[in-house]
Amino acid sequence: MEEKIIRDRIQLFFALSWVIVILCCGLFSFTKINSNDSFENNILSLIPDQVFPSGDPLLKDQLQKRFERSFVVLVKGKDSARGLAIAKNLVDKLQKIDGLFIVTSNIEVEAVIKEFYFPFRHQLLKPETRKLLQRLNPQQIADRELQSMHSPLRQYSPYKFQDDPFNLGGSWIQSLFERKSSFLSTEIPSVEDQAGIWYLVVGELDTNPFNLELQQKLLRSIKNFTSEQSNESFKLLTSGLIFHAAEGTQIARKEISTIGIGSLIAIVLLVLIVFRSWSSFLFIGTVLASSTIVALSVTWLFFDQIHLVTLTFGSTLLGLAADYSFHFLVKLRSTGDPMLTRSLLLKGLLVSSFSSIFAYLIQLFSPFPGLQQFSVFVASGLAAACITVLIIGPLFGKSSPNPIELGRVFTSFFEPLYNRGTKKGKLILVIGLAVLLFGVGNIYQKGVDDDVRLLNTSGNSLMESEKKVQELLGNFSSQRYFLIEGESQQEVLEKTELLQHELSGLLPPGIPKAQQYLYSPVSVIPSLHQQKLDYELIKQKIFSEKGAASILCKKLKSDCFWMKTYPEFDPNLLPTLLPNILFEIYPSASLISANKSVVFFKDTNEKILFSPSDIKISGVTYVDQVGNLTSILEGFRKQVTWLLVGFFFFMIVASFLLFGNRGILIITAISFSSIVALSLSAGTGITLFHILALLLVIGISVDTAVFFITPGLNKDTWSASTLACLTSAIAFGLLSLSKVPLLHYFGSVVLFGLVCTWLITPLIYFLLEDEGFR
Amino acid sequence: MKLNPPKVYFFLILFVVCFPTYTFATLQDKIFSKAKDTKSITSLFIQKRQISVLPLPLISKGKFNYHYEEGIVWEIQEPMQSKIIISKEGVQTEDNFAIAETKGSSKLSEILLSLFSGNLETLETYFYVDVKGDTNQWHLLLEPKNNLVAAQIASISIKGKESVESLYILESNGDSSSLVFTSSRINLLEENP
Repeated sequence: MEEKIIRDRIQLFFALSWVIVILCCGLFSFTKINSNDSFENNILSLIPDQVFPSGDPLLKDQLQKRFERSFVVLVKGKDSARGLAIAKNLVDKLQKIDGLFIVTSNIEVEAVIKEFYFPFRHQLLKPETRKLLQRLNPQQIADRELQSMHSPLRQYSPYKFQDDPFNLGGSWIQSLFERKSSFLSTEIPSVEDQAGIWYLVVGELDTNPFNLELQQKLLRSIKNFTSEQSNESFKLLTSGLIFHAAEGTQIARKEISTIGIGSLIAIVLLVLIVFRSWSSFLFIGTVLASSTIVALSVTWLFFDQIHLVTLTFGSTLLGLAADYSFHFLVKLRSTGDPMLTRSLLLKGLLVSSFSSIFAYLIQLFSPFPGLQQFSVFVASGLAAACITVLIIGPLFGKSSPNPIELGRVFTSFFEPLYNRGTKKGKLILVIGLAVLLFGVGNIYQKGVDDDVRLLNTSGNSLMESEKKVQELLGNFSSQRYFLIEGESQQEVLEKTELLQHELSGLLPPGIPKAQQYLYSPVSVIPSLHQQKLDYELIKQKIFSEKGAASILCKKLKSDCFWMKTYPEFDPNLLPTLLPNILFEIYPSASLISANKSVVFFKDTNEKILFSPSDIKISGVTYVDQVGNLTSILEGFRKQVTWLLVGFFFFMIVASFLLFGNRGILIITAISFSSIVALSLSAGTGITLFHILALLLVIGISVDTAVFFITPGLNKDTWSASTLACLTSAIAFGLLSLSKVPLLHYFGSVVLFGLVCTWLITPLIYFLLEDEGFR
Repeated sequence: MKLNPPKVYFFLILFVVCFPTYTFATLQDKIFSKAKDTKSITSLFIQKRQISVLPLPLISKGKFNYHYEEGIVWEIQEPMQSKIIISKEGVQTEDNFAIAETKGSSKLSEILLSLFSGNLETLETYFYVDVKGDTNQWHLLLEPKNNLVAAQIASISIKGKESVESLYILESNGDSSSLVFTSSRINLLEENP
């Protein structure tokens, strides 16, 4: 009696201590939730840092600033006049939003650039003009200029004739704006395609695009604008990280609530239908609440902020955490004694929770911060669920055994079915082997898929819109570039020029020359060495005594008094003196101050027409972010596959050590479920996320098989595993409906794995029992 | 983000030269409506370009041809020879040095050809259009709608009677160009039965 009192008090002490831990965690989580900056929606933080060149935070910062803070909205009406009117309305509306700035005119840009380059107009040549001057003699140059002066299609000439008679400065400035598309200088700048004129509304954000308030203001404004124009026929395209961030947030929130609410409703309904008791309901509620609170707190302890994608993934925790409660409640109803129930389930609960936690924690090795968070979140939540069941469960009072009704389904339908199956053991074995062979064949045929688009969190329509805008604007790709490093700014510029020269030689015939193909800072600021060479060339071919200028003057019957004093070379065109406006057009030019430079490719869709490994200039590195990310995905997929193999062998050894011959049930269940799940969800190929999900399938299969071994397969364990599978299947089933590829694959694999485990494990159990493995 | 302003001159020249005068209910509408019925035009032109620092104007002469299906051929015959061909495929310049496709010419040629078909809308995208006079002596004044075009062109004045007779472009830097079209022969499309 005294021993029982001591045992009860120890039990109560543990329970109280655990409640205190949960309360502390709850308080901590509450403070974090109210602190406003505890959740994160920055989709870029899901991408590993290794994508950017190591040790180059400046470059990363510049690239992110350039691509994060600007956005574009393209508007097309039923005709250009209506399109313009609609675009004007949109500009008016967007200009009222605090925190963003709408760029409406480029006239100031042109004026600043024109003034800046004026003193240097005799030492700057765009590559085509340089080649022309090298090729033609002064007479030909003069004739060509005269012809141009008589042409009705005269060139853009920002400087007066007397200041720039051969329009060298004009050609230089024009080359700064040369892009794939032809922009039209309409009231609001526009660009034309076959479908008509698209008006271009360009905006810049004061803050980062992950600011939820700003996202909402912008989206609300565009939504209101669209509904106000509902009687108009118009199209609207958007581009910019803010739209992707907003959509990512929207999708994550929607999926968190779908999975969370879906799982909760399923759990509540199952508890009320199956157990019909408020104490059971309260027990499961306590387990789920403790699990969630601990998961949140532990994740916040390790990470400053919890990502919304982590929460989306993490909402499957509810389905998993409920599993342990179901096993406990079903067994409790069967025995009527909570302490006995705990001791019967202790081994099974510990083995299954350790295997699942282990499976999740393997994802800590992932280079993806989102997955690392997810593994900490679910592993800590599962540990809390297991502890809560083991500590709070025994607080139930003793009652007379009253097994749940669901067990009858097993005894009257499934048990006879499985028993009949064992009588056709050989046929089942053949079918099983055929399914396995087909599964392996299918997996082999599908191959692997390491496409970076798996990481997309934006919907198809936004991706289409983004693609269309990039096509229309002919923007450059920020995914592939050359990084040039040197000892001094001039060395960097010279290396950049050398790179362009080498690339010109590598490009196949018929392709535009390198300078038209690349987006390089030497288009804004050539090296002093190149400036001097160009100065000498211009002087010799145009402004010398027998140069083109004096020939032209004779033809124009002018004394050309303005050309009597030819300016000296001006050594002051240096990177440090570039006006800010040029850094906005060529953001990579700002890196030169740090003795670095970046050369981008102009066309976002163009395939690489040369092998980057052919470029062998010291200090020049080719960076392919898509390639980097693909190789990271590929490398990690291989790494995780080996881990999976290791985990599988570990489970084989552990199963035999813990359960002897009966361990074969675990091995067969995990092998069969994994192959079937992988085969059914292979899609376009096996991805990293399939493999990661497979770890969970193994964990779940081990859970189920372990409970069938200890305490043993009967109507109680079958009922508990059925309820557990059902709640988890609902959670992962909802996840498999996600629009985000990685969530979709994750959900699909686990869903198929769960269903297969639930169906097959009892059958394997009966087959093995028939063979005397008991 | 720049429209090549001199190219704007050119398409203006091309489009106005196609419009013989008529008696209109709304003069502007009738000028543009007439362009829609134009099949081909053949003209001679004299261009005088005055650059402020040069003592003498640059004078060039030549032939202008437009056909609604084939496009435009602008042929300078004096003081040197060159040819500009504008078709649906793009703009091609032929001179003593090379035959070159003008960059982005495909879109420009679309604009030009749409103007020839009497599409006032395209013109109004860049300019405020003011029409004065009557069908016997009309005067179109074009003024840029935005600063980017205004930085290059101050105004364009087109005068005509039976057809466009002269065109005067005043540039923002004080330089100017005048074009006089003579001996214009205009063929209209046959009316649909």
